[in-house]
Amino acid sequence: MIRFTSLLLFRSMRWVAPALLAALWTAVAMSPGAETTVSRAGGMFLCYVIVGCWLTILIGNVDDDAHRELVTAVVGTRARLHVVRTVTALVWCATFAVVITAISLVAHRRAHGIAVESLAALGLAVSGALIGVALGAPLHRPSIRNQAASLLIALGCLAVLVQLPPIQGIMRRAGRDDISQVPTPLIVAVVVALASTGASAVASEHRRT
Amino acid sequence: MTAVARSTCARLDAVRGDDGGVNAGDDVLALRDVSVRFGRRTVLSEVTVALQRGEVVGLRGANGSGKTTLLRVLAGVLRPSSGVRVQRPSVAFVPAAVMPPPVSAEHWLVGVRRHRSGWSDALEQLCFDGDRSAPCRVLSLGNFRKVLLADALTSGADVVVLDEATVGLDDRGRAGVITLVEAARSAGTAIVQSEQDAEPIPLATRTWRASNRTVHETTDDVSVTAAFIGPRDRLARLIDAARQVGFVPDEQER
Repeated sequence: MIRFTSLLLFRSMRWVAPALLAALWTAVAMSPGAETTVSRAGGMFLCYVIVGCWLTILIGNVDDDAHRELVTAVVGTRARLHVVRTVTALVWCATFAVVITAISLVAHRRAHGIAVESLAALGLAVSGALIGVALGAPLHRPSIRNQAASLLIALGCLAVLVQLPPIQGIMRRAGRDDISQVPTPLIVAVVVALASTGASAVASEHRRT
Repeated sequence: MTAVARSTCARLDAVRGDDGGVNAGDDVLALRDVSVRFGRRTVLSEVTVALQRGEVVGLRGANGSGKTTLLRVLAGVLRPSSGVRVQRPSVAFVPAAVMPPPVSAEHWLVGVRRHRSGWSDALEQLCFDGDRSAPCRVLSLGNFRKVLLADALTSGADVVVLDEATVGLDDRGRAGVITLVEAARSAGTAIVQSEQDAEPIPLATRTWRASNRTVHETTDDVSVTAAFIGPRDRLARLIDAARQVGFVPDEQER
């Protein structure tokens, strides 16, 4: 079902806008300079959050209500379909994050050992993708039926999110090549992602529309 | 009426008269005291119904009487406001109107329900004449409907829920639906099929009628009469049409 959902998204061409944003952001963040892999991962952190959130909303709204119900009957419950679609978004966001991190590791200077640097950059990237997906998970159908409304609410949530001290702290520390705090956002991101996906799956199961 | 049509009608009569080789009597899905409310509006009130393996149940009712809501609850895609859906069987659901997805019929059939076969033959039986590799969006309404029906009726699910299954189908397609429904029923699948009153449900062994926010079983309304007597000639014409295009073998081949 993850493959089928990916195919639906791919053929719908809705992925083009977030892909363009990701490409532009990557081009700017990866431009030649003196920065290290970790500081560049810090620069990409917000991109992963935005793209993760956007892609999750797009995947949640990829088909009409009747087709969604048809697929719901195939997988069993609305909650299960919600989880499948969230996981699909996560797979694509995490893949994007891992690829960018790998390129960055090859192309840029490293301030620490390769193993430490890889883990730190990967941790930051996956945290960003997870937080983005967790943010997008409750913001699509059946919880919010209008995609424009979903994107506006997501924009508001992102504006608040980037002002939060933990997120500010992650980006600031990464910019200074400080990798000591990287495990903390990763753990927090995993917990938040699981809680958000679980809560929105339960909400979608109980929604009567 | 040709010999094939006569024998098929006789076979269908026989099916109605016995269990058709399937162990009837096992409830595969039941709703107990199910009510559905959308806001302040009650659509279904304390509905209790049960489906048994290998039976075809027709569902009738006026527009807005709650047919689709009942089918959605049976399919497990709508949680009732109160009451319980007792079992959790595997379900294939064909809603009345689905916007065609941007993938091809082939990708859709393979992607939605993996590890199964039979849909290709089913498409042929339904006289699908569209391009299987083209996006579903470019298929005609009828051909896309045939893709959905081929998927549902060959899914091997315990229960198949069809909301106005034959909308947009030509006569050959309708004949194909009868054949596929019979095949699924014989394999033990329980089928619920809603149709407009004028549309026959040839294989239905029972009919539910939705009205006044509840559902009751009928045996003597026009719909049931249509299901048993009215469609006889129509069914014969459908079978004749199917035979002409080679999807129903004639007597000698049998």
